[in-house]
Amino acid sequence: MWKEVLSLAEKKGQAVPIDFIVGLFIFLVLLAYFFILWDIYSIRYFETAKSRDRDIASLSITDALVNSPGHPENWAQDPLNAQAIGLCSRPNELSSEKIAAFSSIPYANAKQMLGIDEEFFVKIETSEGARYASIGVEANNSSTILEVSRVALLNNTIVNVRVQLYEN
Amino acid sequence: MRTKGFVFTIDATLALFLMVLVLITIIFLSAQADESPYVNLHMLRIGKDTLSVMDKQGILTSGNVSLMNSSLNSTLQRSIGAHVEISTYYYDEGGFNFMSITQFGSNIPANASIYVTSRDFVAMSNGRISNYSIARMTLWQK
Repeated sequence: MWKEVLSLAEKKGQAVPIDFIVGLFIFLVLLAYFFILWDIYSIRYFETAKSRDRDIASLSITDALVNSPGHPENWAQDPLNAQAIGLCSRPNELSSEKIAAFSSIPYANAKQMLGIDEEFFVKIETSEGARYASIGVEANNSSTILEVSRVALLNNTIVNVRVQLYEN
Repeated sequence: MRTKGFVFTIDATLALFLMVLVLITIIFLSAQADESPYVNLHMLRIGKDTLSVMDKQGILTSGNVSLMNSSLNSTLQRSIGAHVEISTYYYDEGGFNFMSITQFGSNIPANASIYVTSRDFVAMSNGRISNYSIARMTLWQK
């Protein structure tokens, strides 16, 4: 009788090995797949998020420059105390006075007024390449540059306002 | 014996279900993340800028198709194609009546992603509104 009891006790609670091993194997494969995907997509996600932040910044800067008079509206008379920079007198009509005032603002202050962390460079030129103004610091070739171009009028001439954002 | 391993099977099924659900969610979200909505916004801004500049220069109200074509080509970047349709209405007896449709620019390609923007403008004559027009611009990347 004791032998039977001991024999049962030995068998009791033993896992079914094939079911268990196959289940564990599938689980581990899926877990590994999950971690690999997580790693790939988290890197991609952060890159995409960063790129989108720069897209938003570039779009909002070009919008402000081309469609807004800035704040206060007569900020060009006292550029260092401007709260927001805008280069136009009316939507899509640039003001030479405001462009000159924007050029005169120190680079660090201009970055702060535009509300960006990246470096910037603004070019105002015709489609033939005649340049009216260059504001900011031009990127070197090694930088990844995001450029957004908008169209406006300057003294009744069509010009492109090109805003470049980049990181050093 | 029939119920042997039954509890473990439910556990495993539930775990597998959750894991597959998480995987599908990650793949779905990452696929969505690849589509940038800012291309759309940027194209619309380009279209609005172009129509605004052409309106302010009096090109849209000129009715001169060759002038409109050359202005459109010189204003837009070469990588962007555009087609513009201007519907004009004349003001008479307290209402607007359809007058004409003017079209210029390139033909819209059949299988390209297109972006549409519009601008309203009026033509004045003797200090009064004579015509009311709607310019509808269709843009695409070449």
